[in-house]
Amino acid sequence: MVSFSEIWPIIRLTLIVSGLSTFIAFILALPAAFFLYLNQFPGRKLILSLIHTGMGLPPVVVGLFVAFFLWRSGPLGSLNLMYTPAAIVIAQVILAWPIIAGLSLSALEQVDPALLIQAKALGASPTQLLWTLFREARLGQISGIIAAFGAVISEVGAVLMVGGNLKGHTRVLTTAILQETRLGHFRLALILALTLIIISFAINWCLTSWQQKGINRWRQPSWK
Amino acid sequence: MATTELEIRNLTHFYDGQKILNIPYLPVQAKECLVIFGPNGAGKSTLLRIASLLEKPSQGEIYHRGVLVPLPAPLSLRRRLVHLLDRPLFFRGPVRDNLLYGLKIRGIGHKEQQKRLAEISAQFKLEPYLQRQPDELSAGEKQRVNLARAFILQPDILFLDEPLANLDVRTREEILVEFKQIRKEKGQTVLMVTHNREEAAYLADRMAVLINGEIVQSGKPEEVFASPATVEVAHLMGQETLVEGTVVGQENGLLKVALANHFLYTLGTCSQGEKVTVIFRPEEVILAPEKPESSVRNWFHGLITEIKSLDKLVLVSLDCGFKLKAYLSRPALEELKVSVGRKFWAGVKATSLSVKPFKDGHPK
Amino acid sequence: MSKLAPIFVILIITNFLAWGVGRLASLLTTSCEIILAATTSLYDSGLLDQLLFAFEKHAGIKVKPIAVGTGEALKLGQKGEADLLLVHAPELENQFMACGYGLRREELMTSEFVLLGPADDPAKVKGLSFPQALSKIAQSKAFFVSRGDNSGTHFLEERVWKEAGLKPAGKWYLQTGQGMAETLFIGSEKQAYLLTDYPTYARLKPVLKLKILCRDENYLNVYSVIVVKTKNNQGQREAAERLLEYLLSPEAKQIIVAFGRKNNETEGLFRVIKPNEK
Repeated sequence: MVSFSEIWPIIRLTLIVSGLSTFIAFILALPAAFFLYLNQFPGRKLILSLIHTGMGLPPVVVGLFVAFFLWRSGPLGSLNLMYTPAAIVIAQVILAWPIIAGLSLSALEQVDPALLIQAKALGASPTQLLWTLFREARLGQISGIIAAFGAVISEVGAVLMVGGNLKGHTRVLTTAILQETRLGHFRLALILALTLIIISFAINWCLTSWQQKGINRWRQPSWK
Repeated sequence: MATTELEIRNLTHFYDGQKILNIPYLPVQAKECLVIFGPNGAGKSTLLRIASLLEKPSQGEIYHRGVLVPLPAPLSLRRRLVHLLDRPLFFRGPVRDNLLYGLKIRGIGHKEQQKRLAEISAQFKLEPYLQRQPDELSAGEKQRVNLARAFILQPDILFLDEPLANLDVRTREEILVEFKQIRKEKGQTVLMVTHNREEAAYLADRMAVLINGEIVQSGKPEEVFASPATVEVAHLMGQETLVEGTVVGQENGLLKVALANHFLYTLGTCSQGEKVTVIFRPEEVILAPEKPESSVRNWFHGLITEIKSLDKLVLVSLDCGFKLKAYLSRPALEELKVSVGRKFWAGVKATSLSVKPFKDGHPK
Repeated sequence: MSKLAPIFVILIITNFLAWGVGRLASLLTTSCEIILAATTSLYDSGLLDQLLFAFEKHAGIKVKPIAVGTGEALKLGQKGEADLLLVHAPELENQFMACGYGLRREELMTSEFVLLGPADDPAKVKGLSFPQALSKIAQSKAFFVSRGDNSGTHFLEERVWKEAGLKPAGKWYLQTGQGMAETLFIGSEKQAYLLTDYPTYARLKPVLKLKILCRDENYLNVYSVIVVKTKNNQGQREAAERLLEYLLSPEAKQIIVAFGRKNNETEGLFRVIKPNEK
């Protein structure tokens, strides 16, 4: 049973693991999104379809897949990563990456190309153009981050399989909820569930504020 | 002495296999406003993009202040030119940030940014709008911001694509006046394209007419309007009446031309027997109920067939063997009691007409 | 409120950093780690926590216990992914040892199996032996919930059916494919009969609406420890052996015997196997 003193380490681990995974996925996905935006090449549609499929990958499938690699008998077995927080981050990065890549690409494609031409006509260098493009796509971009974070903090299949729910080491909120339910401690499970939802909400509040920054709050859509 | 800011030489440009521009020489002088005037599809926007170094021409050289520009052009040179697209597009953020965009990109220091911002906001009367979002503004306000963000950069040449399109008459008039004043004050060199006659007439120091990718006439706007070089240019200029006739002789230094059962006298140098197009400009046609005694040489008698209301003037069509159009002010319309079906006399001075000989058997 | 927020954030971040430093430190100090694959029901009982706590203190070996079904545990053992197994399916275990996947097997302890059912007992099985009870349930087609997975409990259940000479099938026979706890919850909701180990039942009794109807000493749940033959790590094999020795030690036996024992009872949930009992 999860004791009171265990709750903070569980929350902490949840935040660290999910936050880190989302961040790493972001760093890796953004260049990919830009690359796909800027280049047309045969096979691009195939890659896009794969990314879209990846957006809906079942976490337990990803967990299994990562386990195959991290098991002692697997190619990366000598790293002894199985049942460590690092393994959880690896699995969650795989879950988050397609979500951020797909939604970022969408966001980039929604920016009016004429706007970028105007930016160039105002003297922007190629790097400055990319930066302007990035800023203009911010709304959709952050949607991607929000979706990815939501996906990883709420999943249990991957973190259970590669993490093992080890007390004090790889136990996160979702696996703790699962365990307490299994043990019949429904009230505790519910408290943990509420904690998860509140934390998730708090973080999404911050992300949403960042996304909506600068948008006139009281403005009606102009066609109304 | 005026220096030449820009010269385009031997420009030919192809798009999709078609030749869309063919310009042997086009200069832009310092501090002048050169208007490229032409119908849609003439290649004006493409020409503008090539001139502002945004697009590379298929063939041709561009000289900036006498120096040949390597193509594709280096960023430092491109930054001395500013090109505004035909619709105002803004970045996320308030008007203020949009105005400062070009300055920030060029790494201009904060103090200088603020100084120029204050100056431009005052000149374009944008102070109350600085913190607002651009998409909240009206079309006229947006265009002011658009122009302001270009002027704030003090470019060597400012390239404008249809700057006053989509504006209502009043806003357009306001901005026309403001723009001309600010431009003259700052001595900003402008290369502009438009298909609007009023804009061209009001803003241009010089005008170049672009038809099917070629410059068919250039000069001061009054000159171009008064003497269109070809029939096509004349069409562009307005409601001219064009009538074909034949030169039958010379009398008192004037050409005598036979057309549609009439003789008329006009200035021009064409040989006997030559087929010509005579161009009547409606603002030069005088209407009178009786043929008066006057120095006007040419009078035609005809029936009023149509009275068309334009906003401030009226366009009267008269059938006198050929269809002749005349502008009339509303008070004059009432005073002369002009109405459809009445017979009237139309008079045109010999000096207000122009003749263009046929070329290869066709009207030019 | 907004003044407190930055302090709050700084505190949290410091805590996170402390965790990071701690992790780094433990990574650098190489101590021996072994993976123990324990059957879920044993893991959930809490007995493992107590045993391992004492062991880790005294032996300085880090044990990573993961809760998996018996079938999965044996598979992991076969692949060498776990170093020590704690399972309860003797027939399967013997096969495992015969194939040479294990170095050593010792039976550790037993617990009782009980037959649960609704309080009103529609099939009237109270007090019967397991095979008799299951026959009557099959006859009356009362709801029966089975694990339906590769767990020790499931294999024991199959043994009972075999000995009753029956093959259970039909709409009344439900297979959950899940762990003991989930199966108990489902059985409770459906007011069905089911077989379970006593420790799990004892723990979940407050939230279940089922009663114990039969007990049968012929069917005991036997837990054994197996040291796995891992191809790679010598150090882990030794550590696993030490854990096994510990589990057989008098100290461990005391913990096992006392576990779950209420004040006036002589026995806890688990009974230790004495060396001469076989």
